[in-house]
Amino acid sequence: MSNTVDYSRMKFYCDETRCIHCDGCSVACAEAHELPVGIQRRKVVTINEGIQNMEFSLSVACMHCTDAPCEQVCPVDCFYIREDGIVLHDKDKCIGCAYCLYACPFGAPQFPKDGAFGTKGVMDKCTMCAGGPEETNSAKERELYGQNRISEGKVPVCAAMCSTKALLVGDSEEVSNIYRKRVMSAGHGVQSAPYGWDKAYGK
Amino acid sequence: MGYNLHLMDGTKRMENKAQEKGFFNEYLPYIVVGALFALLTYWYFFLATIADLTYVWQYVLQMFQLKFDGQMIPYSELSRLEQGYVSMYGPQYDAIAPEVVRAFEERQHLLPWVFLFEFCLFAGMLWLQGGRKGPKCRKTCEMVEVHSLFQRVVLLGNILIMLYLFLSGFSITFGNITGGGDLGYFLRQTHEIVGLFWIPLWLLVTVIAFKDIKHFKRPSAKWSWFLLKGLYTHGQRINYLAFVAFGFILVFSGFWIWFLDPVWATHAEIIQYKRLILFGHFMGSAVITFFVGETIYSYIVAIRGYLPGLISGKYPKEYLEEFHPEVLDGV
Repeated sequence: MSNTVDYSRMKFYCDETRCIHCDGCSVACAEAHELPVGIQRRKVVTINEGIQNMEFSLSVACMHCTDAPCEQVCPVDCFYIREDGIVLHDKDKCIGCAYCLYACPFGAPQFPKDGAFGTKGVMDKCTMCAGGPEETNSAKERELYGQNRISEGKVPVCAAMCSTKALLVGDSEEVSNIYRKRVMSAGHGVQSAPYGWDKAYGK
Repeated sequence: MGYNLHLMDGTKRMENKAQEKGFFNEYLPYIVVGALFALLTYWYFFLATIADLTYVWQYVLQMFQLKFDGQMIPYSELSRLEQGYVSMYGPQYDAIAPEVVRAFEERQHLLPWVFLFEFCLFAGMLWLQGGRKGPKCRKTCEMVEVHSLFQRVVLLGNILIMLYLFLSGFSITFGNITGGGDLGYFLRQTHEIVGLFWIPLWLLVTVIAFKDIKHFKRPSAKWSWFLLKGLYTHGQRINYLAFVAFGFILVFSGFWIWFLDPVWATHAEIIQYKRLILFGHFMGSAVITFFVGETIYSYIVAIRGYLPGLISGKYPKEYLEEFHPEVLDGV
Protein backbone atom coordinates (compact mmCIF):
# COMPACT_ATOMS: atom_id res chain seq x y z
CA MET A 1 0.00 0.00 0.00
CA SER A 2 1.38 3.35 -1.01
CA ASN A 3 1.94 5.98 1.67
CA THR A 4 1.41 8.86 -0.73
CA VAL A 5 -1.79 10.79 -0.17
CA ASP A 6 -3.62 12.35 -3.08
CA TYR A 7 -4.14 15.95 -2.04
CA SER A 8 -6.16 16.74 -5.12
CA ARG A 9 -9.29 17.44 -3.09
CA MET A 10 -8.58 19.20 0.17
CA LYS A 11 -11.87 19.60 2.01
CA PHE A 12 -13.30 20.76 5.30
CA TYR A 13 -15.88 18.87 7.30
CA CYS A 14 -17.47 19.86 10.59
CA ASP A 15 -19.13 17.10 12.60
CA GLU A 16 -22.21 18.72 14.13
CA THR A 17 -22.49 15.97 16.73
CA ARG A 18 -19.10 16.90 18.16
CA CYS A 19 -18.98 20.70 17.87
CA ILE A 20 -19.47 22.33 21.28
CA HIS A 21 -19.42 25.95 20.08
CA CYS A 22 -16.26 26.81 21.98
CA ASP A 23 -15.25 29.25 19.21
CA GLY A 24 -11.70 27.99 19.43
CA CYS A 25 -11.48 27.63 15.66
CA SER A 26 -12.64 31.16 14.84
CA VAL A 27 -10.48 32.74 17.55
CA ALA A 28 -7.44 30.73 16.45
CA CYS A 29 -8.07 31.78 12.84
CA ALA A 30 -8.38 35.45 13.73
CA GLU A 31 -5.26 35.35 15.89
CA ALA A 32 -3.11 33.34 13.49
CA HIS A 33 -3.90 35.54 10.51
CA GLU A 34 -4.13 38.80 12.48
CA LEU A 35 -7.54 39.53 11.03
CA PRO A 36 -8.98 43.01 11.51
CA VAL A 37 -12.10 43.48 13.61
CA GLY A 38 -15.22 42.67 11.57
CA ILE A 39 -13.58 40.00 9.43
CA GLN A 40 -14.51 36.44 10.35
CA ARG A 41 -13.10 33.90 7.99
CA ARG A 42 -14.52 31.17 10.19
CA LYS A 43 -17.60 31.38 12.35
CA VAL A 44 -19.48 29.03 14.63
CA VAL A 45 -23.25 28.95 14.31
CA THR A 46 -25.70 27.33 16.70
CA ILE A 47 -28.97 26.12 15.22
CA ASN A 48 -32.22 25.77 17.18
CA GLU A 49 -30.63 27.46 20.15
CA GLY A 50 -32.39 26.57 23.41
CA ILE A 51 -34.60 23.84 21.89
CA GLN A 52 -33.99 20.55 23.67
CA ASN A 53 -32.58 17.74 21.50
CA MET A 54 -32.65 20.02 18.48
CA GLU A 55 -29.73 22.30 19.24
CA PHE A 56 -26.45 21.78 17.45
CA SER A 57 -23.48 23.88 16.39
CA LEU A 58 -21.36 24.03 13.28
CA SER A 59 -18.15 25.74 12.34
CA VAL A 60 -18.53 27.36 8.92
CA ALA A 61 -16.02 28.91 6.52
CA CYS A 62 -15.20 28.73 2.84
CA MET A 63 -15.79 25.12 1.84
CA HIS A 64 -13.39 25.32 -1.11
CA CYS A 65 -16.10 24.01 -3.42
CA THR A 66 -15.28 21.70 -6.28
CA ASP A 67 -17.26 23.81 -8.75
CA ALA A 68 -16.74 27.09 -6.88
CA PRO A 69 -19.53 29.55 -7.77
CA CYS A 70 -17.45 32.51 -6.57
CA GLU A 71 -14.83 31.69 -9.16
CA GLN A 72 -17.49 31.60 -11.87
CA VAL A 73 -19.12 34.93 -11.12
CA CYS A 74 -16.04 37.05 -10.40
CA PRO A 75 -15.94 39.79 -13.06
CA VAL A 76 -12.17 40.23 -12.76
CA ASP A 77 -11.25 36.55 -12.49
CA CYS A 78 -9.41 37.02 -9.22
CA PHE A 79 -10.12 33.46 -8.04
CA TYR A 80 -8.03 30.46 -8.85
CA ILE A 81 -8.22 26.84 -7.76
CA ARG A 82 -4.99 25.12 -6.83
CA GLU A 83 -4.18 21.61 -7.92
CA ASP A 84 -5.02 20.35 -4.45
CA GLY A 85 -8.51 21.89 -4.70
CA ILE A 86 -7.96 24.91 -2.42
CA VAL A 87 -9.84 27.96 -3.73
CA LEU A 88 -7.79 31.15 -3.39
CA HIS A 89 -8.08 34.70 -4.66
CA ASP A 90 -5.84 37.58 -5.63
CA LYS A 91 -6.50 40.66 -3.49
CA ASP A 92 -4.57 42.90 -5.88
CA LYS A 93 -7.09 42.06 -8.60
CA CYS A 94 -10.28 42.08 -6.48
CA ILE A 95 -12.41 45.22 -6.90
CA GLY A 96 -14.75 44.52 -3.97
CA CYS A 97 -17.90 44.14 -6.07
CA ALA A 98 -19.21 41.42 -3.71
CA TYR A 99 -20.65 39.26 -6.51
CA CYS A 100 -18.92 36.31 -4.84
CA LEU A 101 -20.94 36.99 -1.69
CA TYR A 102 -24.19 36.72 -3.68
CA ALA A 103 -23.03 33.51 -5.28
CA CYS A 104 -21.56 31.76 -2.25
CA PRO A 105 -23.91 29.26 -0.59
CA PHE A 106 -22.03 29.53 2.70
CA GLY A 107 -21.61 33.28 3.18
CA ALA A 108 -17.85 32.87 3.21
CA PRO A 109 -16.65 36.09 1.53
CA GLN A 110 -16.01 38.87 4.03
CA PHE A 111 -15.70 42.55 3.32
CA PRO A 112 -14.12 45.11 5.62
CA LYS A 113 -16.56 48.01 5.67
CA ASP A 114 -13.83 50.56 6.20
CA GLY A 115 -13.94 52.69 3.05
CA ALA A 116 -15.27 56.22 2.69
CA PHE A 117 -19.04 56.48 3.26
CA GLY A 118 -19.11 52.89 4.46
CA THR A 119 -17.95 51.37 1.20
CA LYS A 120 -16.47 47.92 1.39
CA GLY A 121 -12.87 46.96 0.80
CA VAL A 122 -11.52 43.99 -1.13
CA MET A 123 -12.78 40.54 -0.26
CA ASP A 124 -11.25 38.35 2.40
CA LYS A 125 -11.98 34.68 2.99
CA CYS A 126 -10.59 31.46 4.40
CA THR A 127 -7.48 30.37 2.51
CA MET A 128 -7.29 26.99 4.25
CA CYS A 129 -4.07 28.50 5.63
CA ALA A 130 -2.55 28.32 2.15
CA GLY A 131 -1.74 32.01 1.60
CA GLY A 132 -2.28 33.60 -1.77
CA PRO A 133 -0.65 34.19 -5.14
CA GLU A 134 2.28 36.13 -3.68
CA GLU A 135 5.64 34.48 -3.09
CA THR A 136 5.20 31.69 -0.53
CA ASN A 137 5.85 32.86 3.03
CA SER A 138 6.78 36.35 1.85
CA ALA A 139 5.96 39.36 4.01
CA LYS A 140 3.37 40.52 1.48
CA GLU A 141 1.63 37.16 1.43
CA ARG A 142 1.46 37.16 5.21
CA GLU A 143 0.16 40.71 5.32
CA LEU A 144 -2.57 40.12 2.73
CA TYR A 145 -3.61 36.53 3.39
CA GLY A 146 -2.15 35.53 6.75
CA GLN A 147 -0.13 32.44 7.57
CA ASN A 148 0.75 29.83 4.94
CA ARG A 149 0.71 26.72 7.11
CA ILE A 150 0.05 24.33 4.22
CA SER A 151 3.44 25.18 2.68
CA GLU A 152 5.04 24.22 5.99
CA GLY A 153 3.21 20.88 6.01
CA LYS A 154 0.91 21.91 8.85
CA VAL A 155 -2.84 21.46 9.26
CA PRO A 156 -4.95 24.64 9.02
CA VAL A 157 -4.98 26.30 12.40
CA CYS A 158 -8.76 25.97 12.98
CA ALA A 159 -8.68 22.18 12.65
CA ALA A 160 -5.45 21.92 14.62
CA MET A 161 -7.06 23.87 17.45
CA CYS A 162 -10.38 21.97 17.55
CA SER A 163 -10.48 20.26 20.93
CA THR A 164 -13.24 17.75 20.10
CA LYS A 165 -11.93 17.07 16.61
CA ALA A 166 -15.27 18.10 15.19
CA LEU A 167 -13.50 20.08 12.49
CA LEU A 168 -11.63 17.89 10.04
CA VAL A 169 -9.58 18.94 7.06
CA GLY A 170 -7.58 17.10 4.47
CA ASP A 171 -7.96 14.88 1.46
CA SER A 172 -11.67 14.20 0.94
CA GLU A 173 -11.13 10.44 0.91
CA GLU A 174 -9.53 10.57 4.34
CA VAL A 175 -12.17 12.91 5.73
CA SER A 176 -14.92 10.63 4.35
CA ASN A 177 -13.30 7.59 5.95
CA ILE A 178 -13.17 9.28 9.36
CA TYR A 179 -16.79 10.36 9.04
CA ARG A 180 -17.80 6.83 8.03
CA LYS A 181 -16.02 5.31 11.03
CA ARG A 182 -17.69 7.76 13.37
CA VAL A 183 -21.14 6.96 12.01
CA MET A 184 -20.49 3.24 12.30
CA SER A 185 -19.19 3.51 15.85
CA ALA A 186 -22.23 5.58 16.80
CA GLY A 187 -24.33 2.58 15.86
CA HIS A 188 -26.92 4.37 13.80
CA GLY A 189 -27.17 5.99 10.41
CA VAL A 190 -27.41 9.61 9.47
CA GLN A 191 -30.30 11.31 7.74
CA SER A 192 -28.18 12.69 4.93
CA ALA A 193 -24.71 13.52 3.73
CA PRO A 194 -22.52 15.67 5.97
CA TYR A 195 -23.60 19.28 6.32
CA GLY A 196 -22.78 21.39 3.32
CA TRP A 197 -21.07 18.64 1.33
CA ASP A 198 -23.76 18.25 -1.31
CA LYS A 199 -23.67 22.00 -1.97
CA ALA A 200 -19.90 22.28 -1.93
CA TYR A 201 -18.80 19.08 -3.57
CA GLY A 202 -21.85 17.82 -5.46
CA LYS A 203 -24.20 14.95 -4.66
CA MET B 1 -50.44 86.27 -16.80
CA GLY B 2 -48.61 86.12 -20.09
CA TYR B 3 -47.06 82.90 -18.97
CA ASN B 4 -50.44 81.33 -18.26
CA LEU B 5 -51.88 82.49 -21.57
CA HIS B 6 -48.98 80.92 -23.41
CA LEU B 7 -49.43 77.78 -21.36
CA MET B 8 -53.12 77.58 -22.12
CA ASP B 9 -52.40 78.16 -25.80
CA GLY B 10 -49.93 75.28 -25.77
CA THR B 11 -52.30 72.95 -23.94
CA LYS B 12 -55.19 73.84 -26.22
CA ARG B 13 -53.03 73.31 -29.26
CA MET B 14 -52.12 69.82 -28.06
CA GLU B 15 -55.74 68.97 -27.24
CA ASN B 16 -56.90 70.14 -30.64
CA LYS B 17 -54.16 68.10 -32.23
CA ALA B 18 -55.36 65.02 -30.33
CA GLN B 19 -58.94 65.53 -31.52
CA GLU B 20 -57.79 65.91 -35.09
CA LYS B 21 -55.55 62.83 -35.13
CA GLY B 22 -57.66 60.27 -33.24
CA PHE B 23 -56.75 58.18 -30.25
CA PHE B 24 -54.51 55.62 -31.95
CA ASN B 25 -52.41 58.12 -33.87
CA GLU B 26 -52.18 60.50 -30.94
CA TYR B 27 -51.00 57.87 -28.50
CA LEU B 28 -48.93 55.88 -30.99
CA PRO B 29 -45.61 56.60 -29.21
CA TYR B 30 -46.95 55.14 -25.96
CA ILE B 31 -48.36 52.09 -27.73
CA VAL B 32 -45.13 51.43 -29.65
CA VAL B 33 -42.90 51.93 -26.59
CA GLY B 34 -45.29 49.88 -24.44
CA ALA B 35 -45.25 47.01 -26.96
CA LEU B 36 -41.45 47.12 -27.24
CA PHE B 37 -41.16 47.24 -23.49
CA ALA B 38 -43.48 44.22 -23.12
CA LEU B 39 -41.29 42.38 -25.65
CA LEU B 40 -38.16 43.34 -23.77
CA THR B 41 -39.72 42.25 -20.45
CA TYR B 42 -40.72 38.91 -21.97
CA TRP B 43 -37.23 38.41 -23.35
CA TYR B 44 -35.54 39.43 -20.09
CA PHE B 45 -37.71 37.45 -17.70
CA PHE B 46 -38.66 34.41 -19.73
CA LEU B 47 -35.85 33.88 -22.22
CA ALA B 48 -32.66 35.54 -20.99
CA THR B 49 -32.71 35.16 -17.25
CA ILE B 50 -31.92 31.93 -15.45
CA ALA B 51 -33.56 32.89 -12.15
CA ASP B 52 -36.38 30.75 -10.78
CA LEU B 53 -39.15 33.18 -11.66
CA THR B 54 -41.87 31.31 -9.78
CA TYR B 55 -39.78 31.68 -6.65
CA VAL B 56 -38.99 35.34 -7.39
CA TRP B 57 -42.69 36.10 -7.82
CA GLN B 58 -43.63 34.30 -4.59
CA TYR B 59 -40.83 36.12 -2.80
CA VAL B 60 -42.05 39.52 -4.01
CA LEU B 61 -45.57 38.67 -2.83
CA GLN B 62 -44.19 37.52 0.50
CA MET B 63 -42.47 40.86 0.98
CA PHE B 64 -45.85 42.57 0.96
CA GLN B 65 -46.46 40.63 4.18
CA LEU B 66 -43.28 42.26 5.56
CA LYS B 67 -41.38 38.99 5.46
CA PHE B 68 -38.03 39.45 3.80
CA ASP B 69 -35.99 36.30 4.42
CA GLY B 70 -37.30 34.51 1.30
CA GLN B 71 -38.18 31.27 3.10
CA MET B 72 -41.41 30.02 1.52
CA ILE B 73 -42.02 26.87 3.56
CA PRO B 74 -42.60 27.61 7.28
CA TYR B 75 -39.51 26.86 9.35
CA SER B 76 -41.42 24.47 11.64
CA GLU B 77 -42.37 22.24 8.69
CA LEU B 78 -38.76 21.66 7.66
CA SER B 79 -36.66 18.66 8.64
CA ARG B 80 -33.83 19.14 11.09
CA LEU B 81 -31.34 19.13 8.26
CA GLU B 82 -33.33 21.67 6.24
CA GLN B 83 -33.72 23.88 9.27
CA GLY B 84 -29.97 23.84 9.67
CA TYR B 85 -29.44 24.84 6.07
CA VAL B 86 -31.98 27.66 6.20
CA SER B 87 -30.66 28.95 9.52
CA MET B 88 -27.08 29.02 8.35
CA TYR B 89 -27.14 29.71 4.66
CA GLY B 90 -30.54 31.22 3.90
CA PRO B 91 -33.27 29.73 1.72
CA GLN B 92 -33.01 28.32 -1.80
CA TYR B 93 -29.54 29.61 -2.47
CA ASP B 94 -29.64 28.81 -6.18
CA ALA B 95 -33.05 30.36 -6.99
CA ILE B 96 -31.67 33.79 -7.87
CA ALA B 97 -27.89 33.56 -7.53
CA PRO B 98 -25.37 32.56 -8.64
CA GLU B 99 -26.95 31.90 -12.01
CA VAL B 100 -28.08 35.49 -12.59
CA VAL B 101 -24.68 36.92 -11.73
CA ARG B 102 -22.96 34.22 -13.75
CA ALA B 103 -25.18 34.91 -16.75
CA PHE B 104 -24.21 38.59 -16.72
CA GLU B 105 -20.58 37.72 -16.22
CA GLU B 106 -20.60 35.28 -19.13
CA ARG B 107 -22.23 37.74 -21.49
CA GLN B 108 -19.98 40.69 -20.76
CA HIS B 109 -18.00 40.19 -23.96
CA LEU B 110 -21.18 41.04 -25.91
CA LEU B 111 -21.59 44.47 -24.33
CA PRO B 112 -18.91 46.33 -26.32
CA TRP B 113 -20.77 45.21 -29.46
CA VAL B 114 -24.05 46.52 -28.06
CA PHE B 115 -22.45 49.89 -27.34
CA LEU B 116 -20.81 49.95 -30.75
CA PHE B 117 -24.20 49.23 -32.33
CA GLU B 118 -25.81 52.07 -30.34
CA PHE B 119 -23.00 54.44 -31.32
CA CYS B 120 -23.39 53.54 -35.00
CA LEU B 121 -27.15 53.97 -34.70
CA PHE B 122 -26.81 57.47 -33.26
CA ALA B 123 -24.08 58.39 -35.74
CA GLY B 124 -26.28 57.14 -38.59
CA MET B 125 -29.25 59.15 -37.35
CA LEU B 126 -27.08 62.23 -37.08
CA TRP B 127 -25.81 61.70 -40.60
CA LEU B 128 -29.34 61.18 -41.96
CA GLN B 129 -30.46 64.40 -40.32
CA GLY B 130 -27.60 66.28 -41.97
CA GLY B 131 -25.58 66.89 -38.81
CA ARG B 132 -26.34 68.93 -35.75
CA LYS B 133 -28.96 71.63 -35.99
CA GLY B 134 -28.20 74.94 -34.36
CA PRO B 135 -30.07 78.23 -34.06
CA LYS B 136 -30.47 80.18 -37.30
CA CYS B 137 -30.29 83.80 -36.21
CA ARG B 138 -30.25 86.71 -38.65
CA LYS B 139 -27.66 88.90 -36.88
CA THR B 140 -27.62 88.28 -33.17
CA CYS B 141 -29.83 85.79 -31.44
CA GLU B 142 -32.55 86.94 -29.11
CA MET B 143 -31.86 85.02 -25.93
CA VAL B 144 -34.66 83.70 -23.74
CA GLU B 145 -34.05 82.56 -20.18
CA VAL B 146 -35.39 79.02 -19.84
CA HIS B 147 -33.59 77.49 -16.83
CA SER B 148 -32.95 79.08 -13.44
CA LEU B 149 -29.58 78.62 -11.77
CA PHE B 150 -31.06 75.97 -9.48
CA GLN B 151 -32.45 74.02 -12.42
CA ARG B 152 -29.15 74.19 -14.28
CA VAL B 153 -27.22 72.87 -11.31
CA VAL B 154 -29.69 70.02 -10.85
CA LEU B 155 -29.88 69.06 -14.54
CA LEU B 156 -26.15 69.27 -15.21
CA GLY B 157 -25.37 67.49 -11.94
CA ASN B 158 -27.79 64.74 -12.89
CA ILE B 159 -26.21 64.31 -16.32
CA LEU B 160 -22.64 64.21 -14.97
CA ILE B 161 -23.51 61.82 -12.15
CA MET B 162 -25.47 59.50 -14.43
CA LEU B 163 -22.62 59.42 -16.93
CA TYR B 164 -20.22 58.52 -14.13
CA LEU B 165 -22.55 55.87 -12.76
CA PHE B 166 -22.89 54.26 -16.19
CA LEU B 167 -19.13 54.33 -16.65
CA SER B 168 -18.24 53.03 -13.20
CA GLY B 169 -21.15 50.55 -13.12
CA PHE B 170 -20.24 49.00 -16.43
CA SER B 171 -16.59 48.93 -15.38
CA ILE B 172 -17.60 46.11 -13.04
CA THR B 173 -19.25 44.33 -15.94
CA PHE B 174 -16.17 44.89 -18.08
CA GLY B 175 -13.95 43.52 -15.33
CA ASN B 176 -12.57 40.73 -17.47
CA ILE B 177 -11.32 43.26 -19.98
CA THR B 178 -9.84 45.70 -17.46
CA GLY B 179 -8.55 42.85 -15.29
CA GLY B 180 -9.42 44.53 -11.99
CA GLY B 181 -6.70 46.17 -9.93
CA ASP B 182 -6.52 49.69 -8.53
CA LEU B 183 -8.47 51.47 -11.27
CA GLY B 184 -11.26 48.90 -11.23
CA TYR B 185 -11.36 49.08 -7.44
CA PHE B 186 -11.51 52.90 -7.50
CA LEU B 187 -14.37 52.89 -10.04
CA ARG B 188 -16.25 50.27 -8.07
CA GLN B 189 -15.95 52.12 -4.75
CA THR B 190 -16.81 55.52 -6.22
CA HIS B 191 -19.80 53.92 -7.96
CA GLU B 192 -21.30 53.37 -4.51
CA ILE B 193 -20.42 56.82 -3.18
CA VAL B 194 -21.51 58.75 -6.27
CA GLY B 195 -24.64 56.59 -6.36
CA LEU B 196 -25.50 57.80 -2.87
CA PHE B 197 -25.26 61.40 -4.06
CA TRP B 198 -27.53 60.57 -6.97
CA ILE B 199 -30.42 59.63 -4.66
CA PRO B 200 -31.39 63.23 -3.72
CA LEU B 201 -30.54 64.44 -7.21
CA TRP B 202 -32.80 61.82 -8.82
CA LEU B 203 -35.59 62.96 -6.49
CA LEU B 204 -35.03 66.63 -7.35
CA VAL B 205 -35.06 65.96 -11.11
CA THR B 206 -38.21 63.87 -10.66
CA VAL B 207 -39.92 66.81 -8.94
CA ILE B 208 -38.71 69.72 -11.08
CA ALA B 209 -39.31 67.80 -14.32
CA PHE B 210 -42.89 66.91 -13.41
CA LYS B 211 -44.19 69.23 -16.09
CA ASP B 212 -47.55 67.46 -16.22
CA ILE B 213 -48.44 69.01 -12.89
CA LYS B 214 -49.47 71.99 -15.00
CA HIS B 215 -52.39 69.89 -16.26
CA PHE B 216 -53.66 69.52 -12.70
CA LYS B 217 -52.53 72.62 -10.90
CA ARG B 218 -51.47 76.04 -12.11
CA PRO B 219 -48.02 76.70 -10.61
CA SER B 220 -47.74 80.08 -8.92
CA ALA B 221 -45.13 82.58 -10.06
CA LYS B 222 -43.44 81.96 -6.74
CA TRP B 223 -42.59 78.40 -7.79
CA SER B 224 -42.02 78.92 -11.50
CA TRP B 225 -38.23 78.95 -11.00
CA PHE B 226 -38.53 75.48 -9.59
CA LEU B 227 -40.49 73.59 -12.26
CA LEU B 228 -39.06 73.20 -15.75
CA LYS B 229 -40.74 75.36 -18.40
CA GLY B 230 -43.12 74.13 -21.07
CA LEU B 231 -45.02 70.90 -21.55
CA TYR B 232 -43.89 67.48 -22.59
CA THR B 233 -44.12 66.03 -26.02
CA HIS B 234 -44.99 62.33 -25.98
CA GLY B 235 -41.41 61.16 -26.48
CA GLN B 236 -40.13 63.41 -23.72
CA ARG B 237 -42.86 62.22 -21.35
CA ILE B 238 -41.93 58.59 -22.01
CA ASN B 239 -38.30 59.41 -21.20
CA TYR B 240 -39.35 61.22 -18.05
CA LEU B 241 -41.55 58.36 -16.83
CA ALA B 242 -38.78 55.84 -17.56
CA PHE B 243 -36.33 58.03 -15.66
CA VAL B 244 -38.66 58.15 -12.66
CA ALA B 245 -39.59 54.45 -12.65
CA PHE B 246 -36.24 52.83 -13.40
CA GLY B 247 -34.34 55.52 -11.52
CA PHE B 248 -36.40 54.55 -8.49
CA ILE B 249 -35.49 50.90 -8.95
CA LEU B 250 -31.82 51.88 -9.18
CA VAL B 251 -31.65 54.24 -6.19
CA PHE B 252 -33.76 51.93 -4.04
CA SER B 253 -31.78 48.78 -4.86
CA GLY B 254 -28.47 50.66 -4.87
CA PHE B 255 -29.12 52.03 -1.41
CA TRP B 256 -29.83 48.58 0.03
CA ILE B 257 -26.85 47.04 -1.72
CA TRP B 258 -24.66 49.68 -0.09
CA PHE B 259 -26.41 49.65 3.29
CA LEU B 260 -26.92 45.96 3.93
CA ASP B 261 -23.73 44.19 4.87
CA PRO B 262 -24.51 40.74 6.22
CA VAL B 263 -22.33 39.31 8.96
CA TRP B 264 -22.47 35.71 10.18
CA ALA B 265 -25.35 36.44 12.55
CA THR B 266 -27.54 38.07 9.90
CA HIS B 267 -26.38 36.32 6.76
CA ALA B 268 -29.28 33.88 6.45
CA GLU B 269 -31.95 36.57 6.87
CA ILE B 270 -30.36 39.14 4.58
CA ILE B 271 -28.59 37.40 1.74
CA GLN B 272 -31.67 36.40 -0.26
CA TYR B 273 -33.00 39.96 -0.12
CA LYS B 274 -29.64 41.25 -1.36
CA ARG B 275 -29.73 38.75 -4.22
CA LEU B 276 -33.18 39.90 -5.25
CA ILE B 277 -32.16 43.53 -4.97
CA LEU B 278 -29.12 42.94 -7.17
CA PHE B 279 -31.41 41.25 -9.70
CA GLY B 280 -33.52 44.45 -9.72
CA HIS B 281 -30.43 46.66 -9.99
CA PHE B 282 -29.23 44.74 -13.04
CA MET B 283 -32.64 45.02 -14.66
CA GLY B 284 -33.05 48.73 -13.84
CA SER B 285 -29.61 49.65 -15.17
CA ALA B 286 -30.15 47.71 -18.39
CA VAL B 287 -33.54 49.27 -19.10
CA ILE B 288 -32.79 52.85 -18.08
CA THR B 289 -29.95 53.06 -20.60
CA PHE B 290 -32.49 52.61 -23.39
CA PHE B 291 -34.40 55.71 -22.29
CA VAL B 292 -32.12 57.98 -20.31
CA GLY B 293 -29.09 57.30 -22.44
CA GLU B 294 -31.02 58.99 -25.21
CA THR B 295 -31.94 61.90 -22.93
CA ILE B 296 -28.37 62.51 -21.85
CA TYR B 297 -27.23 62.10 -25.41
CA SER B 298 -29.77 64.62 -26.66
CA TYR B 299 -28.62 67.19 -24.10
CA ILE B 300 -25.01 66.94 -25.13
CA VAL B 301 -24.56 66.07 -28.78
CA ALA B 302 -27.87 65.18 -30.38
CA ILE B 303 -29.66 67.06 -33.09
CA ARG B 304 -32.12 68.72 -30.79
CA GLY B 305 -29.76 69.30 -27.87
CA TYR B 306 -28.20 72.67 -27.08
CA LEU B 307 -25.55 72.33 -24.41
CA PRO B 308 -24.62 76.06 -24.20
CA GLY B 309 -28.25 76.75 -23.34
CA LEU B 310 -28.24 74.17 -20.58
CA ILE B 311 -25.08 75.70 -19.11
CA SER B 312 -26.08 79.37 -19.34
CA GLY B 313 -29.81 78.83 -18.92
CA LYS B 314 -30.48 81.03 -21.99
CA TYR B 315 -31.58 79.71 -25.36
CA PRO B 316 -31.89 81.57 -28.68
CA LYS B 317 -35.56 82.31 -29.37
CA GLU B 318 -35.18 81.15 -32.97
CA TYR B 319 -33.84 77.83 -31.80
CA LEU B 320 -36.77 77.31 -29.45
CA GLU B 321 -39.27 78.34 -32.14
CA GLU B 322 -37.88 75.78 -34.51
CA PHE B 323 -37.08 72.86 -32.22
CA HIS B 324 -38.83 73.36 -28.89
CA PRO B 325 -42.01 75.41 -29.40
CA GLU B 326 -43.55 73.68 -26.40
CA VAL B 327 -40.83 75.21 -24.18
CA LEU B 328 -41.27 78.63 -25.71
CA ASP B 329 -44.99 78.37 -24.94
CA GLY B 330 -44.12 77.99 -21.29
CA VAL B 331 -41.66 80.85 -21.04
